[in-house]
Amino acid sequence: MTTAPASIIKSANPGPIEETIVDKLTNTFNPSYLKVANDSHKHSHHAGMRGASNVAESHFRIEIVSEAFAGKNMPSRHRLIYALLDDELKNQGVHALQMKTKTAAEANKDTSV
Amino acid sequence: MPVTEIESESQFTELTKNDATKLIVLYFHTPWAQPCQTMNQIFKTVADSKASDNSISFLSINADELSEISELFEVSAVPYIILIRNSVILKELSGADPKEFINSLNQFSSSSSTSTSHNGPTPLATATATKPQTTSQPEEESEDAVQERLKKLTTAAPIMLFMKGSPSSPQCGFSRQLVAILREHQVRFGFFDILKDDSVRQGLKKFSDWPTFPQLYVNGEFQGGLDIVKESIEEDDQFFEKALQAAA
Repeated sequence: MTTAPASIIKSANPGPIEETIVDKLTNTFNPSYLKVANDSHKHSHHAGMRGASNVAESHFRIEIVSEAFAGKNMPSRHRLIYALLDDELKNQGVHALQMKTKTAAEANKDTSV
Repeated sequence: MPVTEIESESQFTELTKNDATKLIVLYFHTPWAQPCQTMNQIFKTVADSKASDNSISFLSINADELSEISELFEVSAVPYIILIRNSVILKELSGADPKEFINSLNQFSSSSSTSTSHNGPTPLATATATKPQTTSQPEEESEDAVQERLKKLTTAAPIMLFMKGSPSSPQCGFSRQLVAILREHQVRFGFFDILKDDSVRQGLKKFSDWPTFPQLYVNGEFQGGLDIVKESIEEDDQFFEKALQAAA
């Protein structure tokens, strides 16, 4: 068990949804590394977002390293996160999650986590 | 009249202009889509059975080769059937349901006897500019019917992409990227524009147990969205080839 503190990276001024996402992911997966980035501004003017009530916290990019993913294929890992953030996706207007999910071993293989 | 295979846009224009009373049945197909094989036969048989009826014109269109015509009618998936009279779209059918096709044909052709259509007695005439989604499927599509349709759709081609928009006109950055990856790897794929069919859009989320689009299916098996395909390709350049070989 590593004694190094977990790295948790989020936006400089996270909104309420981002805070919830960070909390949920941290509590559920106990990640050694977590980065959540808010990409909503890249999509707010796109046709698909026209008329949407939430354009400020609609698209997130998540990079997470956790042993919870060991032995699971990628669709399963993504489904774990989708299930955890089901409320955000269904009711809070979160439109998309880009996800990179790795175990510590996989992260060490690839230096660009 | 039996089936006329359209060879060119000008032929299409010739055959579809003028006659205000003729019922024109457009059948869009592609050589690679499995359901089209079955539907090809059915379309031909039905057309032949109505051969003596000059009020109906059966036109068969290869959606790949005559892409301008497909785009004109916003055909997003094959097989696709459109019934037109006097430049008005009467009905659109997406997918390969012979019963639905025959019912619609009887409903709108003047020579029908008893119509067993379950869409109500009055034909829905719509202006060519608008394409309401509800005319292309029964009012109350049961859970089972949706499941059946999804099973057929996800196996319509060896590689099926469920995306927002079409490959030539993607409506979402992630869909666009996934199309680019498929093209880069020169992968033949079928696509379905989920923006055009809300019951597929919602149904597929449950079917795949996946809340977002685009979604990629290989041999009827869900593979993932953009992230997963990107990572899979990074790890293994032969990802698509291998996935295709892993038998259905």
